[in-house]
Parts: sequence; C-alpha cells; structure tokens
Amino acid sequence: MTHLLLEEKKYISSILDELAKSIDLTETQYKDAISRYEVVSKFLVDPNGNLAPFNPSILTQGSFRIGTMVRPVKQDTEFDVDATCRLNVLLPTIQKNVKKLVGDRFKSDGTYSRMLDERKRCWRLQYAESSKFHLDIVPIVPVADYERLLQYRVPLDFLKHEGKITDIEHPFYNVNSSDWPRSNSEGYANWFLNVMKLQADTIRKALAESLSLSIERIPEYKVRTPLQRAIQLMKRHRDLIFENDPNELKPISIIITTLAAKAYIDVIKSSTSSDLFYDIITEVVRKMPDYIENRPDGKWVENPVNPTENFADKWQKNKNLETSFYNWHQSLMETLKHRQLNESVSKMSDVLKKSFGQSTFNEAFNNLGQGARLLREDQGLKVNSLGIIGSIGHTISNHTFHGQHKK
Amino acid sequence: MVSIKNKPTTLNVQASGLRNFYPSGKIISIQPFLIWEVYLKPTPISENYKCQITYDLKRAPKVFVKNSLLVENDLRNLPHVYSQEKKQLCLFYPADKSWNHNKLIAKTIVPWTAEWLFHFEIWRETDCWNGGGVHEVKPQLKVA
Repeated sequence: MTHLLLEEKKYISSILDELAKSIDLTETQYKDAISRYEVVSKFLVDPNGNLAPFNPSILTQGSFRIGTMVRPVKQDTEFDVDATCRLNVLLPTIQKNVKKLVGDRFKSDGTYSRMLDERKRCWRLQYAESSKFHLDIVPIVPVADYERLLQYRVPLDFLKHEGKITDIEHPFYNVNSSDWPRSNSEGYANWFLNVMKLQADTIRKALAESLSLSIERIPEYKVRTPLQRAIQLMKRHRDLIFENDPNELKPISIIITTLAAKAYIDVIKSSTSSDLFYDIITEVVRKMPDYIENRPDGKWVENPVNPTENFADKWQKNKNLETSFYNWHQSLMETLKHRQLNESVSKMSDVLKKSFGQSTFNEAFNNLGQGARLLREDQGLKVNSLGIIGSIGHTISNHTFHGQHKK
Repeated sequence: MVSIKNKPTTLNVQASGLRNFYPSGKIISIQPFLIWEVYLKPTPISENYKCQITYDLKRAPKVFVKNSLLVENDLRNLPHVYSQEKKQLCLFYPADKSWNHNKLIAKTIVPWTAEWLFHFEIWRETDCWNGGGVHEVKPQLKVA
C-alpha cells in the first residue's frame, strides 16, 4: 500500500522524529515552565494562604500534562501552560465567589498581582522575561455524582477526577447553584496516558538506563512516544495551514488528540503492526476519521471520559468547521503519501518544509547531521557497500574535513 | 604479519580492497595509477553520486564527484573541497594523520566520501555543515 521501501521508511522515520523534537518545546522552555509552575503551586497551597481551608491541590492539564505541546509557529509568540486548582468547596455555591478566592490569593502578592489577568474560566499569569509563556489556572471543585457515568463503562479511575469549573459567561455565574460547567481534564489525561502506557514505560526505562538514572528521576518531558510525536506533527501541520485564517476554523487540538489516540489503540493492537514511526503516524492519521461518528444530531467525537460530551458539537452549528477538519486531514495524508518523499533528499526536504515549516525542518535536519557526526566521533557510525550512512556496514574511522572555499 | 611502514600498500592491494568492500565499483585502471569509479548514495532516498578516486602512490588519493551538485541558481561555494570547479573533496586534514599510504582507501577515503555526501545533502538544504572539520563553513544564504 505504501510506496516507500523499508530502508526509505526508516530514514524518513528518523527525519520525522527529529522534526517532532524540533516542534516540541525546548528543554529550557520545559525547565522554566516547570519551575515557575512549582513556585505558583507552592504559593497556592501555602498553609498560611486564604485557600488553605479548602485543601487546595494543583495539577497541570491540557497538552502540557499529556506531553503534546508544540512551539508556536512564530518564534516570539507565547506558549501557554494550563493548570487546575482544585478546592474542596461544597456545592451549591456561587461560581464568582470561588473564582474570587483564587484571584484574591494571587492579589495578596505584589508580583503576582501585576502579572494577573482574569479570563473567562481561569486566572492568567503572564511571564514576560526569558521564556515567553503564560500560566492559566482554572479553579475547580469536586462533584458528587461522577458515578453517573459508570453506565458508559468509563473506568472509575478516570471518572473520579471530574469536577466543576467557573465560567464568567455562564448564566448562573452569580447565582448560588450547583449548575456549573463540568470538566474532567485529569480524567482525560489519565485516559490518554494509559493509551500509550506500554510505550512510555519502555522509553522511560531505556532512557533511565542510557542516562544511568533511576526511572523516577527521568523528567516526563523527556519521554515521548510515537503517539505524542505524531500529535505534535499534526498540530504543527495544522497551525501552518491555518496560520493566517481569520475565521477560527482550525480543527481544535482536543479533537485531533482524541481521534489520534483512538486510532492509535487500534493501530498497535494488530500483531503485525510496524514499529517504524512513519508507519505508525501514517496509519494513525489514516484511521482518525473512522472515529468520527455519524449520529442523528450530527457528527460526534465522543469524549472518552464523558460519553455525553461531544468535542465536535460546534460542527453542528458551523459546517465549515467540519469541512476544515477533513481538508486538514486530506492535506496531511497527502504529505505522508507524497511521491516526492523518496525521490531525492531535496524533494523530500521541500515536502516537509512546506508542511512543517522551513526553519523547523532545517533545525531538525541539522540535528540529524550533528547526531551523525557525534556518532562517528564515537566510532559508532557505519557505511555499507552502497555508501549508505547509518548503523549497518563498516565503521567510519575518524578524520577531519578540511579544505577552503577555493575556486 | 609485519607491516613495512615505509613501503606504501601496493596499488593492486588497494584495488583488491575496493573490489572487496564496494563490489559495484569499477576499476578503470590500476597501473601506472589507480583510477576507480563508484556510485554512492548516503541515504536510501539520495541520488547516486558518481565518485572517482585517483591514486598514484606518491600523493594522497584524490576524490572527485562527477554529478552536478548545485542547482543553477545556487551560487554558494561547496564546503570542504580543494576545487569548486573540479569538485575535488577535502576529506582529511593532512596533519591529523588519519590517512597514510599504508591505509586501505576502501576503509578510509571511500567511507569519508560517503560521509561528505551525507553532510553535503544536509548543507544544501540548511546552509549548515554539521560534519565538523577544520575551517568553519560559514552560512552563505541570507536568513529570511
């Protein structure tokens, strides 16, 4: 079915993997974000703070939590890290008051006060200096009725994290009520991480061995499975296509992520499934539309931890959103199946630069080259009888390229 | 087996080595000097680069790439070559003793040629030479 030979797929897989690494946040960005998040976390749970009586607990959520963050297309743009601040507040109560509790905590500190911005569902802290990012904290309270979803056969382990959040635009925002918007980002994260658990464990173990560290000391941001890498590539491809779209039609990340994870479960189930990244991402992308359901009220992308929620509910109000998804999907399939991918290095580069960004591609390709040089210096780089550089053949002995730009 | 350091490995032995390691190569001549051609591709999707190696026992082997390496409107200088026109590759720094007359071309020069091609293909796209070496290869393209 594919036009690529095995060796070609291996090579393209290594390029796609480097591309995903160049799309992921840098180590510095992760370290910065994590240290700032930890400071905020500590501040919010401080036993001397106003939140203490509510037993606050902080967790990251969203793409930071599940390891699918991507760098913004434009270098100077901020990225955001999402977190929840769970408070043991009993409902019914007023959303506005709970929101204010967290806001007041931040306002009790001069620095955080200055960085603070109130948003629809969260408090935003704007970090201006080195790493350009903002931290969004969503106040969340527990619910008592999460077991109602057991009938849909969602594991209790995922359901128990469900909570209710505040929303400025909610009709009952100012009213004493139990009718609040629901959210289960932690349950979703658990579901997602469970989908790729086997691969993540294997990678974590291998990293621990190669770095001579215990498994617990391997930071999560260093562990990236083919599923996460595939989603990073998908999101970047999407970001580029919709970069200048004024109509906000770009397929939302939760839809891409959910469909990709569901497809991945299917892809790795088969005993004949390939280990190559190229094969995995191509199969995952190919199968994603299979998980969009046709129901009487329209297209559904079911939330795996809340089957009563449709991630694609906005498609029903705006058919352009649905069309946009399928157009994006088709475009990505065309890239992955492009006949130029194995015609030459130049042609392959053209295809990938257009889809994932020129500077990103260059960074990735250079990293591939650096890796080869380091390997050769370590006497681990080989060449076979056709001249192919890699892990098969005879070791390339050390030498130093020389020569000047003479005419 | 005692190696007599001052006597270079003979052209016949060099030719044998090339036949052995790169059977697809073509020996054009062995005496009075070795001329050998081979097609090398550094990655599974690369084009085949026709490479010619000449060696006369006196001076270090010379390596030439016969394909045109840059497209018409690419006016950059090739990295790590002795001659832009002749596309003669510069694969080692004489002072670092990585090459001497007792070494097999098949185990040194040819692998280094493949490696040069590998880094060349990356440099062609990114304007960045990642293969290391003496004399830094400076970016020649204006950054957008």
